[in-house]
Amino acid sequence: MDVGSPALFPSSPHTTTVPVVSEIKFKNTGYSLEGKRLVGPLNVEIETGETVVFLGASGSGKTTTLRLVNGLILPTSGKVEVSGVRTDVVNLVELRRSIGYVIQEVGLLPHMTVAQNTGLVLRLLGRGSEEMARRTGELLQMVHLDADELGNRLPHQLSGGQRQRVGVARALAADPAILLCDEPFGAVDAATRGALQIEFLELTRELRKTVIFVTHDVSEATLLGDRIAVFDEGTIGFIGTRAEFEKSDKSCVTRLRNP
Amino acid sequence: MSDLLSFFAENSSEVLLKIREHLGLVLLSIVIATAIAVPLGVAAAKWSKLRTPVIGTANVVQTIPSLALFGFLIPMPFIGGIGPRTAIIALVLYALLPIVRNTYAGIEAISDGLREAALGMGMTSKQLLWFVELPLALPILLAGIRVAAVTGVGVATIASLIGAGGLGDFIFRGVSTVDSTVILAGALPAAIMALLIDGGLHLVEKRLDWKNK
Repeated sequence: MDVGSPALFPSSPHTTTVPVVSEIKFKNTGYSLEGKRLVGPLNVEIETGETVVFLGASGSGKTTTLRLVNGLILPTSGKVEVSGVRTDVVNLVELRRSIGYVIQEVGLLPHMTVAQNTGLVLRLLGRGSEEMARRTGELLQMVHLDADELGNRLPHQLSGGQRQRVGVARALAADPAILLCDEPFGAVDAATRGALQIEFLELTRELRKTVIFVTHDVSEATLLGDRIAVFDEGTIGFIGTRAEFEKSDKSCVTRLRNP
Repeated sequence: MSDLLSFFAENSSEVLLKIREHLGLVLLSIVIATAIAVPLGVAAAKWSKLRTPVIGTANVVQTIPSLALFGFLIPMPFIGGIGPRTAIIALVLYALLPIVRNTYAGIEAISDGLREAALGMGMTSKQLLWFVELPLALPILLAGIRVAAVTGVGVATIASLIGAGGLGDFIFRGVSTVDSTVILAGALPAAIMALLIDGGLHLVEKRLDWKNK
């Protein structure tokens, strides 16, 4: 063996591109705070392009589990893998920039205009102002907002429904493969909520995102989820398709179906 | 009153000089204090261990009577002595507390939810500071600078006693010669200066607050 020659990276003769994986795997994942177990053990895999709804009462561990995905917290036992990479070893800033994150109300920066809020992730990624302006217009149109009319307004000058649309647009800005949504439509009235849900469904189907959607609303869960995971005291008590959810006689499911 | 006007007319160049000196003392000390206090306030907000020592120290400095502080500083090597330099150091020390405290309070007031949203979209802690925390804390921070500047106008009159010049020269000259016209020639411009600084910075504060847009 010729040990003298330097090791080179082989130039590949193949043209097949690496498939874009955006799956999320929880492997024996647990999270404890001050000795108290809040979540886990979780063992679940979310596949590329799938929408999984985390359903459960408040305090059941849905949001904590969501925050484990973009590394806002790290598991205290087991691991979380996002697109094949463990969150406890990855560069968290990069990971978070590759994931869209939509949360209730507070998510928009109050001192920035709608356009600035929408383009913020692109600004963090160091994109040019021309690209940002073009992309911001596209994104606002995607969520049915008039960029000319609303682009220069501040979030507090918008209606609740408009704010949530801006939140979704911002999360989609860098075209992330994964979208995390924490009760994004929780703070708007019922009629607006219904419209937003339908639009969200069309949008995520069209863009083929891997989505985790947290809610405590059963009808929202059955409308949006390819699969529904029912959280019960920090663990997943049930996971299955809409049809399986309707038929299941597990107590954690029947309790939600017939409150 | 007519005495005062004729005093201003007869001594206009000296009055203008004293106003300039006074304003110079206040502005320079506020700029230096801001440059020191804002990073200290940010540090106190970011690292909870620093909170008590930083704000506590600034608090202690604030409780020293201004005349005593000038007294302490005069015998100090390098920073002390007679003249405007010592006065500026004392004014800076006085201005620290309101600015540190308001920078800290402004950053502390930002909700954890907003901070988490910003981190969740991939901000580094430096970007969080520049894009979110400092802009949102700015109106409160400016209110601290305003308090410091207005207090500074008052304290600067006493700086005349250690040879720093300013409008205090008229006040103390008037006191020693029992001439109320000369006292007023220093006191009135100082009061107007304090009111103008207060009003001006208040306007800036309001303009920079997103809630008013």
